[in-house]
Amino acid sequence: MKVLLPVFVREFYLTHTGFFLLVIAFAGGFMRSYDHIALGEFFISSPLVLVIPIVFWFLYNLKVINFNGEKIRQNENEFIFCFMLFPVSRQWWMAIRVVLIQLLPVFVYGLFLSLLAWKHEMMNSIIVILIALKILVIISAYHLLWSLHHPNYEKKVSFISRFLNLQFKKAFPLFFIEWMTRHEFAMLLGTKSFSALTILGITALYKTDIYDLRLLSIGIIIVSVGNTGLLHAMHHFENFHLSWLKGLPLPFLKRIFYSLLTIVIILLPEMVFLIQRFPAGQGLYNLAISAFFLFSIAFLIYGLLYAKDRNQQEIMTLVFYCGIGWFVLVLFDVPILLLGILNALVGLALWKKFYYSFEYVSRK
Amino acid sequence: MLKVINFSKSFSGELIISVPMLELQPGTYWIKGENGAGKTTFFKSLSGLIPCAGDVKFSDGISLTRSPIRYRERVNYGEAEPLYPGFLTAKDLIRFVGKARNTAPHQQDLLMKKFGIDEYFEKPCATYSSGMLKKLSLAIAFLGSPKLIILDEPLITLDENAQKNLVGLIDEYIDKHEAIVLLSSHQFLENTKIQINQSFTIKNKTLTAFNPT
Repeated sequence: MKVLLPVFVREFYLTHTGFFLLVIAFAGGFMRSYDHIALGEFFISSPLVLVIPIVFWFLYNLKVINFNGEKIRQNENEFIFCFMLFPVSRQWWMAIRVVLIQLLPVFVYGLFLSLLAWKHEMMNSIIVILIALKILVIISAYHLLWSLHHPNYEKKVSFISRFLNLQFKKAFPLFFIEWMTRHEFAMLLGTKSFSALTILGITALYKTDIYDLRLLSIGIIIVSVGNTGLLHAMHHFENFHLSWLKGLPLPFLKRIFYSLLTIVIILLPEMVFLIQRFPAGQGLYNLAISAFFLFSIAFLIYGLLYAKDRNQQEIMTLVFYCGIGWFVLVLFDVPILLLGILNALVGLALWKKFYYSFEYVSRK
Repeated sequence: MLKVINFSKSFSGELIISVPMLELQPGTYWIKGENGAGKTTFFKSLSGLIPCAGDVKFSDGISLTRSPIRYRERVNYGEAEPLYPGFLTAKDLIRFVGKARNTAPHQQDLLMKKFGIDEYFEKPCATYSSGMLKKLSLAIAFLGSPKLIILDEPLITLDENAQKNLVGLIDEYIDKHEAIVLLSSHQFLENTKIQINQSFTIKNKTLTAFNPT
């Protein structure tokens, strides 16, 4: 157990620090205690509505399963397969303990909802919550045990992959995108859903009242800061999985072009949402500078990642303070075009200055 | 000729390896050292993958610090334990690195055939054995017309045929391109056909000429 906890539990929480910080910031910063209670009471009002948090719990569980699967596949963790030498009952007990700790946030919220349901004497809701939690634990623990019992599974290549590999070669800016969709799909989906909801919510406000560009700019800051996890993953991919990249004789312009193109692809969904939902009265010029502002923040974050080796928690903290700075400047009506140009120039300067001297130590 | 001048590499303030002065003519050089002596760190620094103090320059003045791109055009590195994203194919990697190094497709295909990569050229790296990965890494290390080829543990996991081809390629690059080949190995290279010009060892964190006596 002493071996399983650092590999699966500590690493899980370290890897997802940014995600948890974001949830804590959202839950603690925007919602007051009675908002939480009101939302909880809404959830337990009927078993049908209770499906909403349960869906989120299953998505979180997917994150746990993906993480555990990835850890087991890593060569450095091959020693864990000795686990199979334990009696089956002990294996189950250990797997359940691991996933119970990984699912702790879900259990805490489940307990909160159960207490609310108890207070309102809604036994049906309590039963649904308990069944859902039990299923989550069984699924995760079973997956963990199954993966540990099937270490050298045959890697099959699908017909479509074989066909595509035969016909085409992948373009470099798509390397990271493919890696992301294969290995960090939950993060990608979560980030893009968060961006979509933020843009939809903010642009909807323009239909009810008259606002200037500042409201949308604040939304763009939130969306860009929300992409920090993805940019950190891109940086990790470049420096860990493509560590040989720095040894290639690529001119600076080409290197930066590849990186910019990758960032543009990452931000493509936000650009599409922005174009689709852009407030009618704001005009094309404002749309163009808003898109540029969104992109410039992402590029600055990318430059900051090369300036100093930072883990996800450190970069999140730094970006959080930058976000406050942009927020205040936007409130004081500093033009976002100016902020965008500054962000892009600082990002470029940091990247150019530190690219070769940067040394990657932190993993994730 | 390659000159390594006042080279040192430290991690968190702790010296890993230093090379006060080293001059290498075209030929093969064997860097010996115990595990953790700093061979890979030295190789990665020379190939520009990690920063270091001091300088490394060719006789015409192209240096790691002053002309980073032109320096990298001349230096190729084959890792001891290559790591590639599992979804990429040998084709994706060879074509990309080949393009970055301005190599003709026929050279890429030649190297691919030499190491027997053509059999799995279009399969993703996740399906490769460690030997197959090593061959891919070695093929990539010979792309272009490098003046300095750095091979970290080139013989591990290689089959006999691939070892022979590797020896042939080393000789060819030294003869045709006047390349300097730096390699590390825990195996006895005396038993192979690799012609070693000089051996070095790392003692007290300093690279020194190896003297068996």
